[in-house]
Amino acid sequence: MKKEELFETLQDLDDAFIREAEDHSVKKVKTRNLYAYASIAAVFVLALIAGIIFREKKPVTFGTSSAPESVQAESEERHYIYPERLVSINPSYPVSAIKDMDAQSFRVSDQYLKWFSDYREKAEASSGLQAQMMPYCQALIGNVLAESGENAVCSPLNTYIAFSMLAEVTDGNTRRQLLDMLGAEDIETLRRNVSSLWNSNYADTPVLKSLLANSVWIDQAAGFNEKALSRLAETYYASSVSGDMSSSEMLEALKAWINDNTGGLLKDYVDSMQLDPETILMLASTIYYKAAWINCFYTDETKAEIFHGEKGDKTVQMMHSHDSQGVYYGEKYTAVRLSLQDSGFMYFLLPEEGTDVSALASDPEVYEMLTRKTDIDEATKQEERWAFPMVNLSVPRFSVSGSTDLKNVLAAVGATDVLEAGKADFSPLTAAEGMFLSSAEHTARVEIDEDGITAAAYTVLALTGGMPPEEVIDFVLDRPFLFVITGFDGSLLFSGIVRNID
Amino acid sequence: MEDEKILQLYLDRNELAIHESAEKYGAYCRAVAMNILGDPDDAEECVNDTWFKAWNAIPPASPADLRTYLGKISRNLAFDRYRTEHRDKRGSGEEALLLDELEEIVSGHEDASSSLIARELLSEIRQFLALQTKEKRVMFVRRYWYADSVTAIARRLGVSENRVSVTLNRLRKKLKDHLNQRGYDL
Repeated sequence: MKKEELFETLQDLDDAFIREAEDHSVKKVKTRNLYAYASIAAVFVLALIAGIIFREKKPVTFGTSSAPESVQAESEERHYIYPERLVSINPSYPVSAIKDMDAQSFRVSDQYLKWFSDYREKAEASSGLQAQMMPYCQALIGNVLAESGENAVCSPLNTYIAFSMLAEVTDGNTRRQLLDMLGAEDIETLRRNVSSLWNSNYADTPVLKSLLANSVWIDQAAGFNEKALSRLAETYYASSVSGDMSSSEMLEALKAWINDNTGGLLKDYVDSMQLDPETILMLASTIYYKAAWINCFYTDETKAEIFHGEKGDKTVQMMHSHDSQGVYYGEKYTAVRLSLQDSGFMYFLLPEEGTDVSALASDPEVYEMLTRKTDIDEATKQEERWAFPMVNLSVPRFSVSGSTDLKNVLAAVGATDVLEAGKADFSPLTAAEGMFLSSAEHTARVEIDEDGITAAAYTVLALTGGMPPEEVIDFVLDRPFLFVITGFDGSLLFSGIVRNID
Repeated sequence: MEDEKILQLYLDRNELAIHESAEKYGAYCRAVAMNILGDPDDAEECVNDTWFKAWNAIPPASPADLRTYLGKISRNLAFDRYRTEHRDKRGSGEEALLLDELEEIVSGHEDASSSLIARELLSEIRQFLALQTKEKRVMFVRRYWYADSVTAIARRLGVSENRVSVTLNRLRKKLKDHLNQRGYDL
C-alpha cells in the first residue's frame, strides 16, 4: 500500500473521532504566542553628500513620490513629526492590509486570501531578480562577513537599494561600475528591479511586517538638479526634508525619522549619530522586518549550555526543538532552515569541524543553495537536495553586531570611480566637480530568541568634495556559524556570522 | 443557522444552503484544505467546490454531522488536488511531511487489493484508536486527518512539540504492530 492510499483510507474515519479532535482543545497556562512578531529587523542607509559648491542655488522643490501602482489604491501618507519650518514631502506608502484583526483571525479571513494572492503575484514578478543580485550579495557578504574576525552582520537587500540610489545620482563610468556591481544592464533596468523588489518585499499585515522606506535630506542652502531629486522620490519612494543641515533641529528630525521607521530598534546607534557640518545631502533608507517562526521555540525547553566561541567557551541560553526540518548537506557545511510565517527562511550554516566559518561566506555552494531557481526542473532538483529528517535542533539565543566599511566591497567589485574625487561623476545631481564617496560605514545587529529575530543595521555613505579618503540528526549550533535570512521572494534580507556570544 | 435548517435548505433545493454553509463552515473547511495544500488560492477553490459537491450529494445523502461531512469533502478535494500537483515529484510542506510519516506504516508498494482491504483496514484503525487515550487519539486525528502541524497540535493540546512528536512516533509504530498482528502487511 502507498502512503497516499493510507491517507485516503483515513478519510472515512468515524465522525465521532473527527468531531472529538476538532472540539478538543486545552487552554495553555503559559503564554506562547505563535504569532508574536518574532523578528524585527531594521536597516538604515545614510548617504552623506557634503562639501560641494553648486552653481545652482535656487530652493529645492521635490516631486511628490508615490507608492507602487499596485498598492496606491490603499495608500496613505506616513506622518513623521518634523519641525514646522522644515520642508517635508512624504510619499504615499501602503497602509496595513488589515487593521484591528489579530494574526489568527487574519489567517483564515477572506482579506488574507486576497492579500496573499497579491503578495504572491508580486513575489513571482521579481522571481528572476534574486539570481541577478546574487553576485552582488556574494561580494557583499564575502567582504563584510569574511573580512571581520568578530561577529558581523549585514543586509544585502538594503545595501542594494542604497547603492541603487547612489547609482541614480551618478553618471558615466561611475554609474556603469555601480550598475555592474548591482547586476543591472542600465539604469532603467535597475529602476524596474528596485521597484519590483520593493513590491515583493513590502508587507504590512497582522502576521508579517516588512516595511521599506527611503528619504532625502538636503541642506536648504544647497542647490541640486531638481529632476534627479524628483527621480529619487518617484522611483525610490523617498520622502524629502530640507533645512539647515548644521542645525540640531535637522539632526533631531533625521533621528526621529529613523526611529519611526525602525521601531526605535537602533536607538543606541541613532542617539550617537552626528552630522558633519559640511553635509549638504543625505540619502536614508530603512527596512523594518517582523515575522514569526512557523514553529516557535518553547521557553521551557531553553537551557544553559556551552557555546564554544573563538574567544573561548561561554555559557549561553540554548533553545531547543525536535521537529522535521529542511537539512542541506554541503561539501563544507550542513544547513538547517527554519520557516518564517508568510516570509522566507532563516538558514543556519554550521561548518564542518576544522572549516573556518569565514570560508562559508565566500563559498559558491552557499550562494547556489540560496539562489531560487525559476526553471521548474532546476527548482525541483534543487529542492531534492534538501532532506527532511527529524532534527534535534539547538540554537543559542544571540545578539550580534558589527561594523564595517563598504568601500571594501566597492573596491572588490571594481566600482572604484565613485571613490575618487577626480573620477566620480555626480552630474545628474550637480554640475559641481570634485565630489566623491569618502566613507561607507555599515553597522548591523541581529538578535534571536524563542519568539524570533530582532535585527537592525545602518550604512553611512559619505560623499565629500575634499581630499579623497531522515534520520534523526543533532544540529547543535554551539560553535561559530553563519546565518542568512531571506524574504518571501527569496531576497537576502540579512546575513551574519556568530563567532562569540556575549 | 442550525445544521438541521441548513440541511433542510439542501433538501428543499434552496440555494441559500450554499450561502449558509459557507457562512458557518467556510473557515473550518478552508483550514482543512489549507493544511493539506498550503496555498490559500487552491484551498479557496476546494472550499468553493465543497459546496457544489454537497449540493449534488444532498439529497439523497442526509449527513448526521454536517460540519464533519463538509470537512470530509474538503479534505478529499484538497488531497485530490495535492496528488494532481505532485504527481511526478515529492511535494513540500506539511502534507509531504505527514505522508512520509505514514510511510512508516505501509510498504509503499503498489497493491492491487488495496481498495478491497481499505474498509477492513479502516475498521482496524478505528479499533486501534478507540483503545488509545483521548489525548493520543486527538493527536493522531489532528495530524493524519486534519493534517495539522506538530506545532499546531502542541498549541491546541497545551503540551510541548516534543511530546507530540514522540507520541505520534510511538502511535505509528504501535499501529503498524497492531495491523501486523492482525495479518495486515501493508
